[in-house]
Amino acid sequence: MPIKFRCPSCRQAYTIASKKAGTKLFCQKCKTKIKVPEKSTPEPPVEPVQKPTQPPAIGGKGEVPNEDLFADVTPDRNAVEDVEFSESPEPDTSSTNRPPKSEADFRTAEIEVGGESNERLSPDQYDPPPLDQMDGLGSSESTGGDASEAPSDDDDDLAAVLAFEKSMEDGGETTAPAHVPLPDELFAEDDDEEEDGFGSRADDDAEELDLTPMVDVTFLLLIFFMITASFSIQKTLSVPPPDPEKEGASTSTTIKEEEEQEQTTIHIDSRNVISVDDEPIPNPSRLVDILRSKRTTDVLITSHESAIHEMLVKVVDAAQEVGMQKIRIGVTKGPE
Amino acid sequence: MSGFKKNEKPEEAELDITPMIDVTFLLLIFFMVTSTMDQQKQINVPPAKHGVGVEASNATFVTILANEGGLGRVLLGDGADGEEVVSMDRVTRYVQQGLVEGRDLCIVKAERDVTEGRVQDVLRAVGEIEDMKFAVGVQAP
Repeated sequence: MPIKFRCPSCRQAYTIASKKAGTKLFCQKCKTKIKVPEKSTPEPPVEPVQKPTQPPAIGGKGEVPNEDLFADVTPDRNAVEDVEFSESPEPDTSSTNRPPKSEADFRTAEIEVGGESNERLSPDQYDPPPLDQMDGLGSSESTGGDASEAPSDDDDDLAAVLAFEKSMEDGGETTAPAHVPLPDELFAEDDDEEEDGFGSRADDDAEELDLTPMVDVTFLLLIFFMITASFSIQKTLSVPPPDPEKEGASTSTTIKEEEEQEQTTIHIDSRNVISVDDEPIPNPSRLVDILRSKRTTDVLITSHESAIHEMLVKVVDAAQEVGMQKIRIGVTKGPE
Repeated sequence: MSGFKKNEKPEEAELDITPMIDVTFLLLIFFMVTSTMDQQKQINVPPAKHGVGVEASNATFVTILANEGGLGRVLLGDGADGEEVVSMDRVTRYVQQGLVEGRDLCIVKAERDVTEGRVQDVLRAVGEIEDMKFAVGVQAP
């Protein structure tokens, strides 16, 4: 929600985005340094103003269809009325353009009034300030710099931050304070705004969601899943099927006798010692080198039934590493 | 008003964290989808360098856990909470049932200290089924 507060010295009303809370600014009107409060200072509730009765007194024209458009949203009604009453003695200065019928007309009136000291602008000559002069913080146009001479060169700076309330400077004479809060200027950013522009204005400004806690939780969940994740891929080593009919020992012996010249035989005995071609290998890590030096593509692996499974897997792994084409496995029983 | 301009600069230097959140959510969803809580980590299968990763979803598992006698307890299914069986016929029937359901690979996950005779008994029981592929479960070294 934007913060609404008043300058403590001159009671100038300001509206500022809530992210500016706590910062220090200079009042545009009285130049005192003010600190933006953390919360809006309470304002008296704004009732609909009986303004439709007022314009004839000022401008002499009664047919004002949109008169209560700015009257209804005026947060600063008292200031407006004060000025109006004080200026009423001189209603004729620019009676052709008054009373304002819409926001544009209203602005035109103000400019013309303010320009009395410089030069008079006709309504057609008046160009509204370009949009880029209004920034996202919700400032209204810096009307002070356009028409009236009173605001200083600091005006742009402050207008960039503040949504400035200006009452209308309706008397038009230089006796009026340079800036009287102009109610419609507060909502001048969206030209299409309706009378309830106050609420929607508050929505599109400063209602930013704070994403930080969500990011924290998300990171926590991410880290949790990264740590606990186990990609369910089972590593396997394919082994040849054992002969279902016979016991492994007899099978392996027959093969051994027939093809002894062309194949390497590896035996794992009951004490988990690996022998390659009946030579015991004390260091199983050299098994790959020894198998590679054999230069065969067939290997017969026999394991004693009480040898542990790890040794057989180790031998099969080594045989696959050296590129053995044909691996057979048998199991022996007996004392060895 | 110069003091005000000082205030304005850090305001504009706010980091836009939206892309970071996007990437983080993407990673989070990725890990949530791909991760499965591993409950069978306690099976100490032998390491092998040339193990081939297979999809666990179309494989039948038989687990052999080491015990004090060294013979090994044969459990059906993956993990230590499977049904323990004594008869090798039961293993054959279990794997046969898996083949009927479309799982044509049997992975025998034997712990390192199980005797080879026990592993070959199970493999032989599985090998009675035709068209069944075998593998022993290993882990990366």
